[in-house]
Amino acid sequence: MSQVVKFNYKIDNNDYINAGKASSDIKKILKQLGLESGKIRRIAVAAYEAEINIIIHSSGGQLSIEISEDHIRLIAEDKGPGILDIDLAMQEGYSTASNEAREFGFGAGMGLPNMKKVSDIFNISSNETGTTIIMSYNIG
Amino acid sequence: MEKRHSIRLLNDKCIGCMKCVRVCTTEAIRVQDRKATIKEVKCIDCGACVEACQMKAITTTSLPINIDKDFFNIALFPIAFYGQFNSITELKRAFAAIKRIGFDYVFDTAEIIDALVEEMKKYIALNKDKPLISSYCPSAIRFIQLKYPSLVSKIIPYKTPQQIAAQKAIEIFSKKTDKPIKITYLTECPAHLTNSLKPIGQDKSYIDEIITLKDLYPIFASNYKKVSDEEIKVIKISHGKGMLWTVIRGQIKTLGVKDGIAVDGINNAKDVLCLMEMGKFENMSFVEVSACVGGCAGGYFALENPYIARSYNYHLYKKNYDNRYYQTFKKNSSKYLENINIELDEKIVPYNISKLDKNFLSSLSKLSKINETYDKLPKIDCCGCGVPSCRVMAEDIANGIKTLEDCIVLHGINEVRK
Repeated sequence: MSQVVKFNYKIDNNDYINAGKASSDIKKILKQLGLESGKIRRIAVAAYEAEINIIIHSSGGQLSIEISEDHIRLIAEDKGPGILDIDLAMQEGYSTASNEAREFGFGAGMGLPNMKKVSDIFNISSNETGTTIIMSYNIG
Repeated sequence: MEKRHSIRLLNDKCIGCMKCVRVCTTEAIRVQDRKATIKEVKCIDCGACVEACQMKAITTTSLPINIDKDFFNIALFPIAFYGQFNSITELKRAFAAIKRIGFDYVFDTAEIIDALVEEMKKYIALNKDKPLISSYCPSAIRFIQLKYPSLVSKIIPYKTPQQIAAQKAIEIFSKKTDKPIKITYLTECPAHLTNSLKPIGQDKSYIDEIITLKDLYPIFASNYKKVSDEEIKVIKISHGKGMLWTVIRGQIKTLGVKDGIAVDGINNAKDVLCLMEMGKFENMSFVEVSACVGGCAGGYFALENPYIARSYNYHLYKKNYDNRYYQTFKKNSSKYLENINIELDEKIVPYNISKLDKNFLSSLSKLSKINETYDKLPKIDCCGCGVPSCRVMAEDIANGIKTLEDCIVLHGINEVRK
């Protein structure tokens, strides 16, 4: 059996009002699968950070979760300016968030480092048209 | 799991409308053949359905007022009542009126709260798994057990003030009377009703009898008018801060925590708990959750509007509070509780009801079936099939409880009801 179940969530830029909706839905699905709560938490945190990043840094994108029998993948794809220096962006506290985003309590520069911390495998690629982050988790 | 809620459906009054189905936060209600049913394991006693039902078909367990004169009868003053009266005299009149019903003593539950708060302060200071969650609202605790299993360890493992008050009352009066003691709680809500019978995390309840405020009112009202000045004079109440627990944020005020969140209303609690699960609020030390809007003053059996109750409670507290009394009580609070076990007997455990099937793989294939079914449904969440949403309908279909033919949008109401 090699079925893959996939859920896609469209995320709009600057849509602070709906921030967290996609990731809380993802969390709900993971609970339905009966995953261990520590794992659910790590995936949900990663999904939340990815969702927020698309909202504050890109011009819109999509968050997806792919679930198969041995692993789960979170894929965050966005269109936008991309990340100029990934190594710099991966440092804790480094942020290019707008003042507006910071006023809303976002943009502390912890998003990417947190995502890396809570995923089993973390992959990021970026160019001037957008960014793709893939976070994988082993199940078993 | 055994029956752990007090909400009851009166089948003959139910007309099979969807009001209760729509308001239920835990998606516990279904309508089948024009009658509602509640899934026992999912009900958290929040009372939202009772409030929503226009046919008065949803109610709570009714308990007879049972005062046996062979016992020394102690009533625990309902916590919601500290928001129902506007002056100290009226509050004392309420104590006297309850006593008149036939109780030998009316115990001031607020006094217990002041002692419990001191223990909670110590627990919060020592525990690092922040933010900690109050164990006061049984409906909120059940909600966390069912829906937010990862937060269960954050619940402060202490008994409710009602359970502690019952123990303290027994300790005090077993020295003063030869009669066996009977403790009655006059409850403001279905959740405290259930918790007084079968407390979460306790081997047994210290409360023997329960009277709901709705059953109490008729007899209370007639006695309230008859209370004499002499009867009021002998009533002694605590002058601490405990009465603040009537209203939402009262726990935070009595604890004196600066970094606390208070959330009231089960739907608001849902948002806060969901964010907590995602690691938000880790800079906070304490979270107070009340299933009812306004706190216990908004309890289903409390009469006064919770916003008015808040104003009453505030003025009552201002007039009644005595700093010297409070400081002395605080100093002696550990001694006050020295013979009482305030900790829960058992760990609060999660009940994971979200799981679709027995293991990950079977749940995954069910999830994929649910997705396929969901795509066929109209996605307008009309509840016409008796299920709270199209998503839940897809789940019920996957579980074999419903079929696609039950959808009134796809098949027409007349076809479905044939």
